[in-house]
Amino acid sequence: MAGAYCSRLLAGCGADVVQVESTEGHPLRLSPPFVRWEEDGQAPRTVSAAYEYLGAYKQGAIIDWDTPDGAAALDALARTATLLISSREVGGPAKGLARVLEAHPHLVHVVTSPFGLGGPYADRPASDLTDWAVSGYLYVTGDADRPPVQGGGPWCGYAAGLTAAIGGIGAALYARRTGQGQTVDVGTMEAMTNLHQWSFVLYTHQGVVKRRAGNRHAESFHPVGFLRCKDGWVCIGALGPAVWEAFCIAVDMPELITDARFATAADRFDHGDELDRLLAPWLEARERDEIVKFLQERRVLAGRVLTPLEVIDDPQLAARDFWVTPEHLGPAARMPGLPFRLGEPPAFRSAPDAGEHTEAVLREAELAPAKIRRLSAVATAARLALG
Amino acid sequence: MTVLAGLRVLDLTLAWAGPLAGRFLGDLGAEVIHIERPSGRAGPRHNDARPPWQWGELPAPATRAAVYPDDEPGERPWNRSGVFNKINRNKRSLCLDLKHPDGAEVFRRLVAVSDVVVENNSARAMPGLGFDYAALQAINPRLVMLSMPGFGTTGPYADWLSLGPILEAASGLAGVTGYPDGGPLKLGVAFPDAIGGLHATVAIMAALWEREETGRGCFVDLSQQETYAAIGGDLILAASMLGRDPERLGNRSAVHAPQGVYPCAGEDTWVAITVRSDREWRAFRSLLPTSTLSVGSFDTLASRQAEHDAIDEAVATWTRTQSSWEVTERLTSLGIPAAPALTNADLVNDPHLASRAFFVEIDQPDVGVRRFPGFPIHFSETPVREFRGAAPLGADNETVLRDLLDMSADEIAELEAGGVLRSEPRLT
Repeated sequence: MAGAYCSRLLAGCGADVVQVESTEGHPLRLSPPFVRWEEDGQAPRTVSAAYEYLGAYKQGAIIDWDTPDGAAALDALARTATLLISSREVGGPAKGLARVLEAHPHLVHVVTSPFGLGGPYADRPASDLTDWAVSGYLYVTGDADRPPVQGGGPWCGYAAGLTAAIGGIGAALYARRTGQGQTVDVGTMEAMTNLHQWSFVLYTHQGVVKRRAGNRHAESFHPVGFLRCKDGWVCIGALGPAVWEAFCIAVDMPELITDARFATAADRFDHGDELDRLLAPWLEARERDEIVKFLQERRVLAGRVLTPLEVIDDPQLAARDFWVTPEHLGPAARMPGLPFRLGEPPAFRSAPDAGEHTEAVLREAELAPAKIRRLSAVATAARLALG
Repeated sequence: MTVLAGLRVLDLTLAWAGPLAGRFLGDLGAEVIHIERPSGRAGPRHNDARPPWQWGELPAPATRAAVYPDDEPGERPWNRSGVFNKINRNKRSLCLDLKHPDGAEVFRRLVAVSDVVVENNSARAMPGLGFDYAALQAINPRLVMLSMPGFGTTGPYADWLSLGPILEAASGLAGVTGYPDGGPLKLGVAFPDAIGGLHATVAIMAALWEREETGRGCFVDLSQQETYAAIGGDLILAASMLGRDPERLGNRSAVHAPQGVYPCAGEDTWVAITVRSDREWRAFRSLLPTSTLSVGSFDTLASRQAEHDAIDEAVATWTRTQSSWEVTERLTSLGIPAAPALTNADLVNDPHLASRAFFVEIDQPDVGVRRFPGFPIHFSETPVREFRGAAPLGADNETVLRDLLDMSADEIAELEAGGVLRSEPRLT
């Protein structure tokens, strides 16, 4: 997940990314969410939306680098490569990979893993859920009187991938200047622990343990969070005296401004239930679109709480051409392109079929024709087996 | 040597998302000049009714008021905010009034000798000051500029204001987090800021790579709504193909069972467990007291998913008598993913993070020595080891203008006298 998002970003920024799979297939092909998909005139098959999303913009080759031909192929690709991105293997990189790294000291080797390459937890197994747990996010998410809850997706892995991309490009810039490659070691636990706003200073400056606060923004902000309205939920961010006052005037409750219970953001947080009860009639009489437009026009921070299906129809994202349409997945399929504009948007390329570009990329790497023939045959057989 | 040595960045950021990008660049060795506003509290009204510099009131320069050491604002509270100091280390501070013509001129001269401008103000702020990319590129064609308003610089919401939880809501992802019997739920930390700041850093680095190829800088338009939706690309793609939203799974998994967060001995203490295979389940099951799981063997994923509630009860009975660390040790030694739900205090004292030197001590002017999170990327050849505390407001006014712009002491004194340069906030 981490390495795959890292390389998707690089590919989206214009890098030439070759996704190297073993004959057993990329593990993301077995990752949820799954969609049963039927193409005209073909047997139905199940595709992984994670693979289709994260594999986009890349070429794909099947190379088993622990065979002599595979090692030669990886070596040929490494000659002109800038970065080699892999997941940590327990006990160090496989022999074929280790040899390539040694033979090409210009390479930047980005290694992603749950806990990094060393340290007492390095060999521990991990899951998306345990990633949330060890990052400190799990404990602070959810209602105060219920068990903590994980984030609804494997987003720790994405954050680690982003962190790896920063390290990878940084080391590549350095290698470009000096000719020297290096290892860039990124563990999800540290990548995520790096992403707290005040959790740690709250402890190191005041000795306070940060706790869960449901849909409110602990420790000292209210109303900042999700509130119910007529047709769903809105998020309101009335923080700071000026915005709080603009909010009170907008909802036609100017008396709240001078109410001693709500004098400061901290007071409002401490009296959150009372405040929410007073706001409820105004919110429940209005739909979220109306509320958000009305408040934003008055410079009060607000947004609709959307589901994944609803966000596809969001006018802002549509106006910015955010979505790409992977036609091979049917007319309704939409996925994010590159989430920032850096020159011309990249041309969309769908996630490769297993080993789809094996022959093409090895030819470009100028591998001996006989080896290409043998590796292509292996790739084709593996592709058929993977279905 | 660090990977960005020799690079100069002008950081006009506020709050968290933008400053995170500036901090990454500073940690990586760039010279980051944080240009801060001289304005004081945002609202002119009710000054007397509220203690100044209280957390949550967010005076500008925003977040210079939050989490003081020992809850004590001290003489210069603007230099004592733990939140601000955490996110603005490895930066110099230039407190400059960009709305004053002389301040704007200083900024333009700095642009001429810098590589990057990064800002996360509202979309109208920079064009309003006359600092859109076209204007700045005319001064310095090699300049990389990244703007990251909440909803991007174009489109019908370009003018909207945002903060992390709003972007969490507007990206579609808050809808999938939460208890199965509840509504949408926000994460306990404003994660979209973090994700926006990470993407911004990647985009700036990619633009720097591009500049090496072309010799020219470019403008990056980044929408934090988009960057957050991007980490849900798999969920959104599946929803679009299926025509329906994903189920809210709470702590469960679509492909592993049992998975959950279970109570342990001690108050509000929890352990997260994921059983990924039939083999792991057999190993796990042998640990559970036989009396708690009398019916069925649950040897297949489908059977475990069908009886997940009953299995959860049995697992909780077992975990409740142990510490979260005991459960973790037992299960991980069998190859089963398990981990305590770590608190902020646990993490600061965590032995793994300690062995990787993650938390670092930083001597902070007006604060003293405190521990802060360090740097998450381990470079074998260019390690990040330098952590300079956040600069007090305006601490580098003089050196920046003297060293980079060759300004004389008299010229600098004149700007100070005119309030264009400040080392204390201007309270309005």
